[in-house]
Order: sequence, then C-alpha cells, then structure tokens
Amino acid sequence: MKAPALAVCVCLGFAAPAAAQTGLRGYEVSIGAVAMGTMPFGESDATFSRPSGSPLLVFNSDISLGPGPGAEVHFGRAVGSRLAFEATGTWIFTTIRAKVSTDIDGAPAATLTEDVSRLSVEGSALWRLAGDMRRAFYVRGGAGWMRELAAGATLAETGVIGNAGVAMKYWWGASSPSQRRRLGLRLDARAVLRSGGVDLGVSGVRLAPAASADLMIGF
Amino acid sequence: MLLALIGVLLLTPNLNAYLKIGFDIGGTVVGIRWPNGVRYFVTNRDVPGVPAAELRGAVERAFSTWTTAGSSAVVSEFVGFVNVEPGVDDGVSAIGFVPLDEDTVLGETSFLIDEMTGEIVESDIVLNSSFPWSVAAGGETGRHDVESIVLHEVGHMLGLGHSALGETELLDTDRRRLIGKGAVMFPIAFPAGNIADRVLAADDIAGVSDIYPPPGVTRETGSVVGRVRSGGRGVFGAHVVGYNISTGAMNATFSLSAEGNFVLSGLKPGVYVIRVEPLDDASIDSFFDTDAAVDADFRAVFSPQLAVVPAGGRGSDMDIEVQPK
Repeated sequence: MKAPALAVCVCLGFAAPAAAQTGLRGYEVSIGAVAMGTMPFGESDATFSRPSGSPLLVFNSDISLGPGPGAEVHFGRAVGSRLAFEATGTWIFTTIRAKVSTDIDGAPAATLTEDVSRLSVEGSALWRLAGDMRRAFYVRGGAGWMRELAAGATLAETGVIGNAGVAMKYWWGASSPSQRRRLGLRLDARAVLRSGGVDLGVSGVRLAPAASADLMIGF
Repeated sequence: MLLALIGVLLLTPNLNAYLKIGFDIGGTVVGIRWPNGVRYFVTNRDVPGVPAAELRGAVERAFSTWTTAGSSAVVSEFVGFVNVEPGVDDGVSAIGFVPLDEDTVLGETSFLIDEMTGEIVESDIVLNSSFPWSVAAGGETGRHDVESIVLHEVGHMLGLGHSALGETELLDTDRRRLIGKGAVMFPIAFPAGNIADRVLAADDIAGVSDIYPPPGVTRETGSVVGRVRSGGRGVFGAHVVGYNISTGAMNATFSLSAEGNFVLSGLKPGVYVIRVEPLDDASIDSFFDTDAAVDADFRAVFSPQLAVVPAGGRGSDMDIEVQPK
C-alpha cells in the first residue's frame, strides 16, 4: 500500500516547480508558419578538357536552395524547471536555384529553378534563459530526419536536419500556475542545418536561417 | 547481299538517346550491336614505334576500358594475329595500320553487314600509318597515342556514333582546331602526345550502356525527355546537354525527330542543367547522314527549368524554345 502513495508524491514534486518557473503547464502544442532563408551550395563549373589538360569553362553555375515558406507543428513537454523537450514536424516548400552564366557559346545567363518540398521530424531541447509567467526566452537545439521531394515526388531523398537558435513564448492571460488551458504566441529564430537530401553538389552540413511564428495552446 | 559501311555513316536508329551507327535493313533502321561479343584479329604488321604485339596490348586495353568503365555487358575476344588488310571485305574483323591518303583521319571503322539478316559480318579498324604513333605508357611528344585512338574507334565498332561534347574553332584552312572536349567519342582527337582520351567520360559510358545495358542499369539510371522548338516548329539535330550539378558530369544527345523530340537517358539520379546548342563544332556529316535536315541556325540557350532525374524512371519533360541566330 505504501508504494502507490509514494509515487504520487514524487510526480507532484516535479510537476509543480516546472509549471511555476517555465510557464509550461504539462503539455503544449503550437502550430504556425515558418520561413526558411537561402542555403548556398556554392559555384561549380561545367568544363571540357583542353589539350593541355587544364579545364575549359563551358558555363558556370551557382547553386542554392530556398528561400521558401512552410508550416510547422510542435508538441512539447516541460521536464524540469528550465528544460523542455519537443517534437517538431515541418513541411517546407522551397526551390533549387541554379544561376548559370558565362556560357562558352553565349547562351544568355539565366536562373533555372525546380520546386522542392521537405518534410522533417525533429526532436529538440529548449533551455529557459529568462522570463516570468507570461513570457519566457529560450535557446533551442535539436536534430531529426528529413525527406526531400523534388519535382513533385520524381526524386525523393532522405537526410538529416538539425536546428540551433532562440525562441520566445508569450502566454495571454497567464497569471497563475494552476491555470490549465492557455493560449500563447511563439516566435523562433534559428539556423537550419541540412545534411543529405537532394544532392546539390556539396557533401557535409549546409546552413540556412529560418524564422517562425506559432500559436500555442497549453494544457 | 552485303552492305558495306565505311567510316561512321550514321542513321538514327529510332528516337533514343545517344547517336548510334545504324543501317537500313528492308526499310527498318537497325543499330550496330554485337549480341555474342566481338571476336577480332590484330594485323601482324609492325609500324615505327608500334610492334604488332604492342598494338594488340593497346587494343585489349581499349576493349577492357569499355567493359570495365562503360558496360560490363560488352564482350570481346582477341582471336589472333592475321596477315590481312583491315578495311577489306574478307569476313575477318581486323584491327591494324594502313596508310591512308587522308591527312586529317587518324583512324576509321568500317562494317560489313548482311542486308538480309542484319548480321554483322565483319568490322575493321584502320589506323592511318601515315601518322607517327606511340604506345608509350605516358605518351610520346609528336606521336599519336594508339590506345586513345583505338578506344574511340572501338566505340564505333561497338555501335556508338560521335558525341558533340567538344569545342573547336574553324581555321582558315577549313580545318578545325580542338579547344576542348568532354567525350572520347568527340570526332576530333587530342593532339599528338596527349593520352587524355584513354579515359571514358560520362557521356561515353552512358552511350555504350544504352546499347549494352549492364545488369541493374535501368534501375540505377533515369532519363529526361523533351522537345526543342523554334517559333513553335520542331528543331532536328539540336545538341542537348545535361549537366549534373552534383557530379559535374555532362551527357548529351540530339533532338532526333521533326518535332524536336529528345531523350537523354542513362543519367545518374539527380538535378541537371539542360543546355541546348546548335551542332557547329564539327562537320554535320560526322554525326548524321548528309541528307539529314539538321537545323544549326539558332543560338545556344539554357532550359528555364532544372531537370530532375529519378533512379529507374523518366524524369522531367521539358519544352525548350530556341531563337534563330
């Protein structure tokens, strides 16, 4: 008979300080819009071989991914006075761009494009830096899985995605730790790290800025 | 009845990627293909700098290059040395040196075809002994590299036509000077002493894989299709180049119908820049029959969209409009 009573006491002991200090009450879901900036992949030259062995430039291409809009959903849970974990699903609609120029036969410079969508699922940790019951500021970081689809789903490639940045949460009418249901606004600014996915000529991690605005529901 | 094809007389065996050597059997164009492999002889005639045994070695390396880098489905067998004249219709596929009158031809490949069955009776490769030759491992100044030229000619023997991945300038003498090339099958060779053409390029590999598909190639590669038009009218003979933005490899084909349709196949999955240019870096008869209505009167242009190629399927379908010069 003693064991169940002890278990309840331990749970309450963790939950109350977390709610009081982080602004998170149990769980929270947030849904919003995200804008991803440009991820540069650098320049590459299309070349032939000269008789001397040196390259002969046919044309130059400058490759980038983005910018583009998207949607995201977070599902989070506080696990301590400052720490929270969340799972995030993101769907980004962006564009591969190739600026081609200096053609050996004088073809006009152009920007060639192709649509890409990226579906990602990430796990992130948020660390509360400062705040009160209404507003709080966090640093965040995480990683996850992504799948990029080019030209519809003609080409589908899998990769790894990560994020590192800051977040601000603002709760309307949050005045008491005992308040169960609340509505809030969340703003994030972060660096998106991408590895794998549609092959654009550079192996390793590439970086792009991103920002998002979400409506939050705490429960 | 036998049909002799000398050089690289080219027809267009159906609408497909890469130019191939073809012949007309009863009104049907049939591409060169060796279903049971190539059994060849090497002539036992030495030329300065190239003993017959060294020629055999260079020929074997050339076939091996097509097999290992190009297509594992290519089969070849050296039968022996023979004392015949390559280029003569004798039923023996022979490779060797012969003095040719032409001072711009390093080598040529000929075929003898049974017009009734379409069977290849023989195919010979002639290397012009009027030029100085070398089989030195690192090449030899002032001498043409046997292995490089044989690699090109064996490409013809296997059925490939010329690639137009190259850049030349027209000289006053009505000759062309090579500025650069992106395929062994470009019709103009590197200068004497150069051995760069011992290595196949992506375009060569895709071409031979199209004729002799290695296992799994259809699952591992994909294609782009499209049309080249000028003022809404199809352009025949436009050179269509695909540049893989990841690997830097270039593959090319031509629009091979009156509607300007093209198929660029054998491509590694990925994203491609598509560029269209007129066929103006070598004589048109190096690529097509003399009566082919090749339109070279337009300016080079990039496709407005990138092409996306999946593994084992057809990717982008592109409409490319070109402007007259």
